[in-house]
Order: sequence, then structure tokens, then C-alpha cells
Amino acid sequence: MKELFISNIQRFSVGDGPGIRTTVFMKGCNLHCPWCHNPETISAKADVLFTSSRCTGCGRCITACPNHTVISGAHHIDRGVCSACGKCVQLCPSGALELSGRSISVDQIVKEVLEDKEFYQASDGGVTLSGGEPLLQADGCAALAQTLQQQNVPVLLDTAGCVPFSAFQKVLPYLSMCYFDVKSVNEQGYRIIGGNLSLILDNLKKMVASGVPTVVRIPVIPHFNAHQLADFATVLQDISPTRVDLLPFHRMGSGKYTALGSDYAYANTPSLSPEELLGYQTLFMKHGLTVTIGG
Amino acid sequence: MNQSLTRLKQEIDRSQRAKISVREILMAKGFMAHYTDPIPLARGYACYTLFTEHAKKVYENDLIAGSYFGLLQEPFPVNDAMINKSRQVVANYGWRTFGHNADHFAPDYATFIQDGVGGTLEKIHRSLVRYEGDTEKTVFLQSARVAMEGFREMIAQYANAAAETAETAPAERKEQLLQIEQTCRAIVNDKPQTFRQALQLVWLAHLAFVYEGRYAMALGRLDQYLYPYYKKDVEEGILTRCEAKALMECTLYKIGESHFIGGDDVVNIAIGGVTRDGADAVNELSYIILESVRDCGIPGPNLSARIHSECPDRFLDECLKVIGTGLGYPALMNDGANIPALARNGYAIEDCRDYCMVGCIENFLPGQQPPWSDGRYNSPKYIELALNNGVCMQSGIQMGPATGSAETITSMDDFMARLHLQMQAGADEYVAFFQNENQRYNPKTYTQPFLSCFCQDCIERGLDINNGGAHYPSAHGAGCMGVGTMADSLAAMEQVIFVNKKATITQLRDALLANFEGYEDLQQELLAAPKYGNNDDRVDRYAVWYVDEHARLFDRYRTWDGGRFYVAIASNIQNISAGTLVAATPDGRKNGEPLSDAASPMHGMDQKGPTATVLSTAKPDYTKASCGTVLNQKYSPSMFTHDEKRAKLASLIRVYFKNGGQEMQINSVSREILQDAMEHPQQYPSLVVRVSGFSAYYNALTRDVQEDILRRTEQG
Repeated sequence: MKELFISNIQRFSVGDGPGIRTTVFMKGCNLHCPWCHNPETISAKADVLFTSSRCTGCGRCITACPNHTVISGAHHIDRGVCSACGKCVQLCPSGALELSGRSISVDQIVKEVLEDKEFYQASDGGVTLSGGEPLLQADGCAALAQTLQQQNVPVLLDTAGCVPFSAFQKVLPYLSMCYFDVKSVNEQGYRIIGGNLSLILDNLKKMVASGVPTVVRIPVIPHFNAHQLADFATVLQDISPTRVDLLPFHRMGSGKYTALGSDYAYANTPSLSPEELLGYQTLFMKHGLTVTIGG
Repeated sequence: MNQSLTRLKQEIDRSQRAKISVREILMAKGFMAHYTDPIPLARGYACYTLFTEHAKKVYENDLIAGSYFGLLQEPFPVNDAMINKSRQVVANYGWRTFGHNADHFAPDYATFIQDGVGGTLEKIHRSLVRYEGDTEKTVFLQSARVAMEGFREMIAQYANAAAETAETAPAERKEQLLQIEQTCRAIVNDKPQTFRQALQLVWLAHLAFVYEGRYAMALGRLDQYLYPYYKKDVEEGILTRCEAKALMECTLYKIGESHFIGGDDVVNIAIGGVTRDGADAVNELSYIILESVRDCGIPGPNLSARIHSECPDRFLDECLKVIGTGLGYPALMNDGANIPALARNGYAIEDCRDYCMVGCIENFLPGQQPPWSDGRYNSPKYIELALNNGVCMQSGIQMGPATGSAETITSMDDFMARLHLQMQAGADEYVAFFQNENQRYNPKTYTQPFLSCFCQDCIERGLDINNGGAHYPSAHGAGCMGVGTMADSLAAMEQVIFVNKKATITQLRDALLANFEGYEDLQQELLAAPKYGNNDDRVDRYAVWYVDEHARLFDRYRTWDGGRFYVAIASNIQNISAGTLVAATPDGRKNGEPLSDAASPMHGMDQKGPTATVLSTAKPDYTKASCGTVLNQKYSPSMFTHDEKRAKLASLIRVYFKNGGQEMQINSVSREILQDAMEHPQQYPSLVVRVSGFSAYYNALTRDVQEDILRRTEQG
């Protein structure tokens, strides 16, 4: 039985493609974008998240695991030795401790996402495979997408594209749409986040050529790529994707960094408002591209 | 927002009012001059003086005459002795209130505007001739005639008042004031010919009910009965859409004047839905009313949008846009559930299709049944009693039948059988209490002469609305509390005690008696059991049972005139007060804490998002809940600003309704704003939120209610 290692299954997901969707967030990513709003999906291992505002100080976690301590009233996890076994999470009554990362069978995912089939049909929605990088688990994703296609549930792949095209080919026959993140159009940019520009652009071209509607998603990040959007327009003009979505940087994921006990490099960077991107929207349109702000 | 409304808002908000209502003074005048007349006739004269002797105020910036102003305006010198005497007289004659079928009524405005005042008086006259020699009927009909004549005089007086205001008004206002005068003159006796006249007549009739002291008088299907006039006027070129909207706004904004006389009114308006023949009823006026209510921005007009499977997407989308402004309405009603829910009571199907709502969400056949009444049946309490041999865990007194102690309960089925006995006994008590209260007044003397003119068959039969005059008998709504609390409790009992055997039923009973002190582990087990709102059949089936069970219980009773007891699952904010009367429950809830609200899952327990909530809450058969149900949902404002996201919300609602959901009402105010408004109320004077069935100014709510709204999960 095929399994996937996932972070979360999000139902009534309204920002991850057309209509009402369920998004399956795969765990593990081969890029490490410092602005990432889903940092709990980056590691390929499980993570324990701790939200202090929910903690009632009941102390159950301490009884289960010596890595939990309360120092002058504040809950502390020794993350250096934590194996994310999840025992503490099971005991936590308030939801302060959560686990990101569980193995789940494709059948189990299918069962859960099919609960909302009526909503997908009513809204032209479906299921989105996201993450993390879903194509790092291409076999499992393919099995999931194939079953969903058989059930007439449209599947959208949301990928950062830094994988061999063979991984794409596994899921490609079952896709109704692809969201393809392009974070940079120069090598230096991808060097910072650990990607390979030529591989990514090559994959993008192949996806566009495959006939699956492919939307390029550009997270517009201050000090990283926000000043290079004109270059994006030039590059994408030739590739001619179905649409380009400019996604203004936001900090809504900052709480997750705190919960993971890690630092957020973008903690003090102001969010971009959609209005700030209006000028770029015009620029992309001049290059003959269909473009939205926010998707 | 159009300029007429802006100017009217300013004028009304500026106006000074006295503190004392003149209602009793004016009514007492009528009674005192007719002590020797039969009581029903004296009541007619009390209406007459009330309608004709209050000060008539026409605002300089208004387009439609008739204001609440006269209730707080002394028309002649008044002193304390006169006030005390008047109160004594009026109290002596007595007056039906809610619970005695006096308000929460949707008048038959459709017929009234077809007849006009003169036509109505003519009907009364014909009945007087028909029933000559029948003293009781004659007296009743005479009282109706006196009241209607008083109303006729009131219209003429408003015409005069408009002319008076015109005299001193600036030149640019004169013409519209003279038009008000003309409009009123045209309908003093004759039936209205135009949209403006029809709306004016309806508003003055509504106002007369307000002067009588009635609350929650619905305007009903305003978009239906006014539409022929609107259509004709527009076709003839004597009215534009814009003018119609201005007239509508100036009318509806004055509902907000209820603020000056002791609190917001709940004037329900039902738009959309199907016609009596079952065709789509949405028309241009439906949209005009939506826009007008949005622009008025006040809580009083309680807008309900009837949605049916064939209703245009545009209509639902426009409703969502108005909801997105944060007003909390329209409430969305499913014709697909409500029409069969009414039809189960034996009403003609055409009448069921013509339903509207009174008060918050109560289904009502306009002008065909006596005014509404309802009460609260505290369902979760009976779990406590069934576990404790009928003894209240809070007070230790015997409240229900001795159905056996926890030690003797052998299985879930065994418990359910005992629970049924407790609920049945509780329903018997509920109905006995209601019947005693409801029948406290003599139907022959506690008559309602003016109201009866707006209910079918009263005039024809020569009988008061509460004395057999109404076309259908009176219905009563049993407001059944805590479906979420109850479903969660029963599922937790089944899973934790009987399936997984984590504790015994006696330990559970002891834990509840101890309010979980010393039983924290068991409480955690119970909290971790399946919860309603997550599309989990292990618990949802108890919500299905809940609706079936309450329908079974209340189907056994009839009101005094043979009407039905409806099931309502709409608790307003009483889930808080009812919760104080219930000990700890097996869902893990502690003693005295709020119950789940209305038909919603327990707040915070629906953790899989709105699709799962919708799938769960659509499972019960709401066609057995004739009164109606309320599912409260909260979405962040961003769900309403984009066409695409609104379309997703619309799909969600369509699926809910297709699967049998009955009602959904949505708050779109963000959590941050609500929290901020609690801390800085002065910065949010006009923040309106929906509270399970009605809208209210947030600042006017008590802190526990504000917190309860906050707790209701934000969905997306």
C-alpha cells in the first residue's frame, strides 16, 4: 500500500486553486526559502510545534518525555534531542503541542478528501497536492492523483519544480492543472534557496508543452526578487504559461516559526500590499501575459 | 447611499425626544370615554385615540410619512397624576403580550393594499350586515371598524403634517413634502394605485402596530406584494429604480427609531424564494430591498433571503455581498427545507410556499395564523436527570421521574430509553406551563381589533384573531436547546463508557456531580471523543436522533385551538443562560458553561472546517423543525471581497441547502475587530453583528455574549 508523509490535510482550502479544494500538504522540501509561510513542511522528518498561548501548564507532556521542562513558568522543549516521537502531542489536552509529519496511506487520504466531493463538483474545485515539494514523493502522489482522477476529482499539483522531469511524468497524466512556483529567474537567486534554475525552467517549459494548464506563481519577496520582476516578465513571455500569479509577501506564517522554535529571517520585513504590485501587473500584461495579484 | 437617506439619517439622529411614552395616556383616553361599552369595543376606541391623538411628525428630509416620534411627544400637557391614572386604566383592561399571541406577526399586507382602508371598512360592513343579531360578532366587528376608522384618520393627519412641514421647509424640500401629502391623501380611503402609495400605506399600518406596543411585527414578503406596483410604475415611466430605492431606504431607516423607545426592534423582511405556484420569485425589488437594507446599516430590519434550488446565482451573490459588509444579514433560508417543514402541519402547499419569517427566523404564514409564541426547552438537562434518577445535580431536588440510578444503566440503548422518559416528562411540563400562560386571557374580551383586520378570515367570520378568526390555528415553537452539546454528550458516553469502557457509567455520573474535579483524565477522554460538526457518523447520528426525538415529543401536543407545536433549533443567546441551569455534561463541558448555540456544533469543536460542518449539520431532517433552525458561521471579511471567493462560499451554501440544511447566517467580522471592539467600544458605535437569529449593535451586548460570539469558530 502506497504511503505519503504529510504535514496536514486542509479542507475548504480557498487559496490553492479553483473552487472549493482540499489541499494535501506533503512534508519535505528540497528548497529552503527563508520567507516560507509553511516552514513546518520543509523538513523531511516530523516536527513538534508548540504554541505557548494554548498551553495550560498541565504538565502531562513532562510525565511522558524528559525533553519537556518548565523553567520559571515557561514551557521549554529540548529540540536538540527531540525525535518528534509525538508522545507528548498525544497527551496534550489543549492543542498546544502539535505534530507536523505523519505517514498516511493513499487510501486513507482518498477517503478523507472524497468526503468533500460534492463541494468540488458544486464549485469546480478539487484536490491540491502541495507542501513541501510533493514531487519528492512522486510515486505516492501519482497513486493518489490517479485514484482521484478515477473518482472524477480534478487534481492540481502545486510544485516548486526542482526535481527531475521524470517525477513530473509520473503524475502528469492525472493532473487537471499545475501551479508552478518560480522564485527567481537568475542562478544567484536559486543558489540562496538551493534550487537549480535551468532544471526548473526546463521543467516549466515541458509542463506548458504538456497541455496541462500551468500557472506560474511568483512569491514577490522584498530584497529577494521584488526588484527583478521585469526580468521575470521577459523570461516568462517566451514560455507563455496559462497565467501568472503575483503573490505578495506576507508574514502570516511567522507564528509557525515560533512554534517550531526557530528564527524567522523575515520577521521584521513588512508585508506587501496587493496595491504595491499593480504596476507590475501592467508590466506583465504588456508582455502578453495573463496576470493576477494573489491568484 | 443616496442623498435622501443621508439627510434623513442626520435629521433623525439630531432630533430630541422626550423619555416617556404617551401610549398609555392616549389609550386610557379611549377606555375612559367608553367604560360602559363592551370590553372589545372599548379596545377599539383605545386604538382610535392612540392612532388619532399622537403627534404626527413628518421629517423635513423624508420621502415617506410616519415616524416613531409621536410616541415620545406629548400632544397635550401631561403630568404625573395623569400618567399614573392612565397606567392604572390600561393595566386594568390588560393586554396580550408575547406568549399570548400578540406580536411576532406578519400582517396580510398583500390583501390590505389591494383593499385599501375603504375596502377593508367595506368588508367589515358586509360582515356586520351578515351577522346582524349576533351580539358577540357585532361587537367585535364594530371594534374593528372603530380601530380602522382611527387608522384612516391617522393617515389624513399625516397628510396634514406633511403639508405643515412643507410650509416651513426650505424651497428644495417643499416639493417632496407636498408629494408626501398627496400620497397620504390618496390612500386615506382609496386603495393605493402606485408603488409610493402602497409602500406608504404599509408603513403607516406597521407604525400603527408599533404604537400599539407590538414588537417584532414583520413586513413579510415585501418584494412580492409591492412588486406589481413597482413594475407598473416603472413601465408607465412614473418611477425610476433609483426613486424606488430612496423610498425604500427612507422607510426602512425609520425602523431604527425603535432605538428611542427602548431597544432595537426585529422587523423581519423575507425576500426571494418561490411564488405561490412554485416559480422563482426573485425580482428587481428583491435587489432594491437588499441594497436599501445595506445602506441603512442598522440592526432593525431583519432581512431573510429565501434561497431555492433554482434561484439565480446573482441573488445569492448579492446577499453575500451584503453579509460581507459585516451587517450579519440577510440570513439565508432554504425553501427546500422550510416549505416541507411547514407542509407537515397540514397547511395548503401554496400557503407554505408563501411563508415568511417573524422575529428572528420563525417560519410564518403571513396573515393566516395568530401571532407567534415560543419558549425554551432545555434538552441537555435531561441527560443529567437520566443519569441521576431524575434528581437535579445542581440542586439535589427531584426534577424528573425516578428512572433509576446510574448503577442500574446497562447499555447505551438502556440509557436512551430512560432519557426519552425524562424528555417526555420535561416536555409535558413545558407544554403545561405554556398552556397555562397562553390561555390566561379570555379570548372573547382580550381582543385585538386592529390586528384582526390584517389576518385572513377574521372579518369574514366576525371573530377576533385569537378567538377562532384566523384562517389557521395558532402554532407554538418549542426552542430546543443544545443540539451540539447533546450529540457530543451522547457520543462521548457511547464511545468512552460503552464501546471503549474507559470508565463505568457510575464513574461518569460521579465525575459530572464533582464537576470533573478529581476526574480530569476522564474529562480529557470525553473531550477527545467524536464531536458534532466533523462529519463523523458516530456523533452526527445523535444530532439526527435529536431532531427526530424532539419532533416526536412535540407532535403529541396541540395548542388551545388545535394548532401544532413546532420544533425550533434557534436559541438566540439563551444557550448561555440555559447553560447555567445544566450541570457538567458528558461531552466534557463543565457545570454552568454555555451550551452549543442553536443548530451549530459546540464552538471550537468543529475542527475540520466548514465543509465538514456543513456535511454534519445537514444530516438531521429539518423538515421536522417547522419553526426553523439556525446555523451560525463566521468568515473573515476577505471571503467576501473577491468574486471568486464569494462564489466558493455560494457553492458551500448550495451544497448545504441541497443536502437539507435549513438556515445559515454568517458574520463576516474578523476576530481582531471583535476583540478590539470589546476593548474600545467607543470606536465601534455602529458595529452590527448577528447573534443567532437577530442582528444587534455589538456594543449593546453584554460581555459574556460578546465572548460567546468570539468563541464561535471563524471558518475561513
